[in-house]
Amino acid sequence: MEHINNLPALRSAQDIIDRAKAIGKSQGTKRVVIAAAQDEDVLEAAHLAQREGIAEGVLVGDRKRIQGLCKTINIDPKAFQIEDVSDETEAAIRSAEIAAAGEACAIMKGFLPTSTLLKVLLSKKYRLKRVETVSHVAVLSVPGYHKLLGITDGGIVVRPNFEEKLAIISNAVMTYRAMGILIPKIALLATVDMVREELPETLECATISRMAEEGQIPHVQIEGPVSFDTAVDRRVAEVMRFDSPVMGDADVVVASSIEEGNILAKSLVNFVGAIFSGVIAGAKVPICLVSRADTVMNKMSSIALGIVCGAAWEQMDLSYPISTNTYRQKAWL
Amino acid sequence: MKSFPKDKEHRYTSLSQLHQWTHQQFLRRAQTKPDRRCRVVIAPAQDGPFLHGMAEGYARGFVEPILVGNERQIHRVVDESQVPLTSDWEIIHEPEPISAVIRAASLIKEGEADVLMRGRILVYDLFKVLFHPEHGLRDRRQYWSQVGILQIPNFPRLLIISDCGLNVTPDLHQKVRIIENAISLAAALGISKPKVALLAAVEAVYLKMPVLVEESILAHFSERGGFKGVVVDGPLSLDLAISPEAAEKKKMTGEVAGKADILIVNNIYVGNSLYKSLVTLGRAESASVAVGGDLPVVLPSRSESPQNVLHSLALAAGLWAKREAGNEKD
Repeated sequence: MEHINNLPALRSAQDIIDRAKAIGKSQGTKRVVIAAAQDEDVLEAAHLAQREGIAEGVLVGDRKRIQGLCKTINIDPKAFQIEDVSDETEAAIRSAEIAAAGEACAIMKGFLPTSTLLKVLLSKKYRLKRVETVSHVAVLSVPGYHKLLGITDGGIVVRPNFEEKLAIISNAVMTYRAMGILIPKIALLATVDMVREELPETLECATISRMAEEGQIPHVQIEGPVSFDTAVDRRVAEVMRFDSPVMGDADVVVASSIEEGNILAKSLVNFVGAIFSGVIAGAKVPICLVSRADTVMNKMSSIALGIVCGAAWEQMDLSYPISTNTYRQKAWL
Repeated sequence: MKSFPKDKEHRYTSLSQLHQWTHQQFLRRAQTKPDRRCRVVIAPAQDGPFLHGMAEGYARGFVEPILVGNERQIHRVVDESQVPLTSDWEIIHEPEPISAVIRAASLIKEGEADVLMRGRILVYDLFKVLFHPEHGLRDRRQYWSQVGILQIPNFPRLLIISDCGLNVTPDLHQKVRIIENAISLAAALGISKPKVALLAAVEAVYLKMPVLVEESILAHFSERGGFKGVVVDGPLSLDLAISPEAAEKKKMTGEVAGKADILIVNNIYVGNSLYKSLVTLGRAESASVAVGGDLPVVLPSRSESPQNVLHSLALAAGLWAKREAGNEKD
């Protein structure tokens, strides 16, 4: 397969699925390890992904319950490699071992709390940690928007502080680079497009923009503070006479809190008909999640996004530095 | 696209019904008072799309525009975006934005105008003047909040969302006031028992997340009759609040889940992004006002289309007419 930098940028959920299939064809189907796989929705997603040639599932979990659930939803458990581990923490440990050994390029969360999985995965032993903070990146294929819209973080970090926000940005950049968008345009949301003392969030956004301007955050175009409409609607940006390449053309919007990211993504899914794919980024392997409310397309594109990221991260330099140390920065560039 | 079941019990399914409601309020007012238009003063007036909305309200016969602002700039905007301005429109020259708002507020206090509309000025600068002890319009007992009414394509009823544009991070007491303001606006429109959802990222109550704790307290407050019989429930994620299908899948019980009429967000960042996602990518139409005072302030978002400005004007004018008609009865 060609180096990730030479592949065209992904523009829709279907593109993500097609890219995952193409990776499978050229490198052999990639494997996703599922921690605590005894969950109906997860098994269904694994089945779909396997049938479509997106990913091969390695199920770590309670064999009896997995087989029972497979029966109820009418899929063949023999299609999967199953590792019988009944305890959920043990399942997380075994999954981390498999990922650390390079036998799977993505991890999927099954029937266990996200916190349990993350705690195991990020422990020193497995050397899977990339940055201090992991975050959720939602990638939405929105009807009426001309590219994939990333929303972060609506799932992990409750109220990011300055450091955490930088990590969230770095995780989004890694996810977007994997999708062939090498210089993502990032909008830092804060209700208005200027610094206002009434809105403390705007101060932080402005600081981060300035850092990006100075080249301290490489390979991005960042604009902030920005209001959501100027970030995604060129017309509004023009009316307001804002002149920035990010305005009206954002790849990623960074929310100020988990509520904002979450509600924004759900608004686009429920009211606008967006197709949602999501991945937890920040470790050296991506973590996929599917939930009860997901449609078939959601489930497939979420796993596909995990595979696309996982396959790309295997080839990429993951030491993406955001720092105040300019020397280190220049060396990386 | 998610599909939402049609529900016959809802009073409003579109904003055109809101215009009918406004019309009825004007008819009621005219029973006791000489019929006239609502005098809307916009400050600072130099904004093309806003003036287009105003012109539409004028054409429909319920708005009498008063423009306060930089006269030269107003004329330039009128020429540039071809606003159908007529000689009936009063233009008052006030070159600076802040002085324009002060002038507009004084017109209202002196009874020369009925309703104020936000022009080309940031909401915070506008309200700094309106809350000013000397120039302002606010009684200290009042608590003002922004309320948006949205008509979303394929969604079976109007949704009321608050606060997307005024209060930054309201505390528990202030949230109660925001909820009360939204409920009384709904009541004025004839929605007597609205179902109120307090939005969050999840529906579980994790005690480490302050938003969830606060919303649980408000839900409990409602259960004990704090909102006079109106049911307020939360925390609810957005899909659980508005989609009966999602509520059923996640086995969420309660009167509000899947059926919310009013969505309350925990801070301005959330509300603003939600509102703007619906208006831009969601192609929703909306009416937006600030309520809490004697009369509403027309408060369109800074890049709102003339259509949405018209809806906001209709809502505010209807509230004005309703209040005047009601006063006469007392």
